[in-house]
Amino acid sequence: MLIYIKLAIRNVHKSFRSVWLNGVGIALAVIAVVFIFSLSRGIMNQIVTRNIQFETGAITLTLKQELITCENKQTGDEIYSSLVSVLGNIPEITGYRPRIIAHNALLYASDGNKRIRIEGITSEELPLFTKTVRLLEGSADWEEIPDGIVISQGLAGETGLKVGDNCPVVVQSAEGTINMQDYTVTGLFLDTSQANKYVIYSSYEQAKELYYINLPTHILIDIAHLGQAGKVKKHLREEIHHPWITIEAYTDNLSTAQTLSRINKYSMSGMASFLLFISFVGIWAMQMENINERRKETGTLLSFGFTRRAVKRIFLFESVYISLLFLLIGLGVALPVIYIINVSDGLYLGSSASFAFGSSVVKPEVGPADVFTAALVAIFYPLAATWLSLTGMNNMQIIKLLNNTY
Amino acid sequence: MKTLFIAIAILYISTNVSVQVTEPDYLALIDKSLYVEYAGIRMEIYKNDKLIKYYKIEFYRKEAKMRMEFVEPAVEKGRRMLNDESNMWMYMPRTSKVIKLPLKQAFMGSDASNRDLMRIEFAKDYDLVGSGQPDGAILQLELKAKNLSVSYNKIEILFDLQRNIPLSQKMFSLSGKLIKTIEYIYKEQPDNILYMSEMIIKDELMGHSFTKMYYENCKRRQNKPDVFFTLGSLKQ
Repeated sequence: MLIYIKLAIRNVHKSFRSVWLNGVGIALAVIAVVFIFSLSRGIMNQIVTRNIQFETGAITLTLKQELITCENKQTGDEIYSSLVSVLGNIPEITGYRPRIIAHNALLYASDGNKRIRIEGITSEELPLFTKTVRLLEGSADWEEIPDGIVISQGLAGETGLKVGDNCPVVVQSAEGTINMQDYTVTGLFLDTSQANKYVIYSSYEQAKELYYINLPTHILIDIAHLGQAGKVKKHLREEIHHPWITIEAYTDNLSTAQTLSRINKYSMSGMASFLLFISFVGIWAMQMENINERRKETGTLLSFGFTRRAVKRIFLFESVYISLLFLLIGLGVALPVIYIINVSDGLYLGSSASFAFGSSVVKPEVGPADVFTAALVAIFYPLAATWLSLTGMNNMQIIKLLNNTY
Repeated sequence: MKTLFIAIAILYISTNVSVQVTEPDYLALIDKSLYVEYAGIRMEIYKNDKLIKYYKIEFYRKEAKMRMEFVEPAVEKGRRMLNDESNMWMYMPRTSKVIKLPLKQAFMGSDASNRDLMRIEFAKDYDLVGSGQPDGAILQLELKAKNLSVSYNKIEILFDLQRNIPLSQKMFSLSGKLIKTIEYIYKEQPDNILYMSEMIIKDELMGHSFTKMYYENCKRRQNKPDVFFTLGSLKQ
């Protein structure tokens, strides 16, 4: 067996020129497989993580209008304080964040108005905000500029607003009356989807004043282990059964994100399968050509007493050796590139990419399964192609092989 | 003592006199002046002084209930809107569906909100909290919303004391910022009643945008049955 391996390695090194093209095909297949699967995983994790970490928390409490209005201040405050004490008594809860979300607001600029959503975030949430939302310009330092807002780059492009510009925002308050405040743009963030393109972030206090409410519209709850979300939700439902408060776990809100992720995963897998099929046909054709070109060599080996099976083995070992060599080259290219993309905060594909990927910034994430799949593809595809190409050898005569008259 | 007695007597008389001179109910007068049960309306929406859209509408009203039927342009023909006091609805002939409309939404892309055009009852929604000194025959009225469910928390109206009609109104946000202005123009019609003939609505936050509404064939009474103002009839 060892002699066949040695012969195979020798053959590859000796005729490297004839195998390099085959090898490049294998390396490209490896790169494609690693990229496609890591992009798919990255998109899925990104959607889910962003949703849970920043947008919904593990559990979301939604406080209805009747509870949050200034008119119902006394009742609201009483219910809120009992709510807070319940949250403090559940050991799985590691923290909670009040948030104000006001839909259907209008941001005015010189070019017209845009329908937007305002999110008021507390100063405690700012580190998480700056970690999740990629600020391109300016800052979210609302202690310096209390009436500051951070808008998306896409919205800035559509309205012509820049950092330092003033713009009024009009909203229908929780009770129905129209309210308006003048804001100053303090920062621009990179919008990663059509949904967050039209979100503007302000301080909690400013949003509270604009929406004219006494309490937050939402409370985002963080828990130690996401797997316990269902249990904590059940616990909360037992403790808080008020018609003005709705409780949802992140799993209730993830259906869209998960569907999007699944669509991505299946479409990426489909794309990968198609590419692999094409590359398989290419590799098969190249292997066939390679074996046909080496008929004299095959005839010589057979005339020296090598069995047909032994000759086939040499070709198969050659295929495996080439595969391993170019698998390493493929991984050597793909993994550092993915690392560089991650270090530089992801791959920006343009705002329209968010329709397809759920986000316009994509960070690929490589898992051991991706490397394993790439290795399988790199080894078994050429091996299968070689085996198929060698099937005709069984009936070939040595003389004809030596004369190359097939 | 005599002087004190005279002073008390004057004060008593003046107090009685002031009690007897009651101010007119301006809000009721405004509601009355704007009340029509039928009107043909041509709405023109301008951006940067250019006409970008127009609609021809037939407007029907019975007390607080209102219905609008779109006649032009052809693409909007058959569209209907209804305010049945508590809610606003829109029927779209292409899909044969009725949808509920938020009152604050812009009316067909204009500078007016649905509430501005489909809920015109000052006496019901506002309290008169102040009035300035009359400037000739014109008095400035300050209105405050009775509760926070009313769109505009504060309204200022210039009121013509001679003709008992509003001339213009300014609408303010809860924070006291000017949001919208409406100017009313009137024309006497053959029945010798003064009807609003034109309304210019300006979104003060968008200087280059305004909406003009021309009213024709205004009638104080129409004979549409009550069922005409119900959700059920909107589809028929």
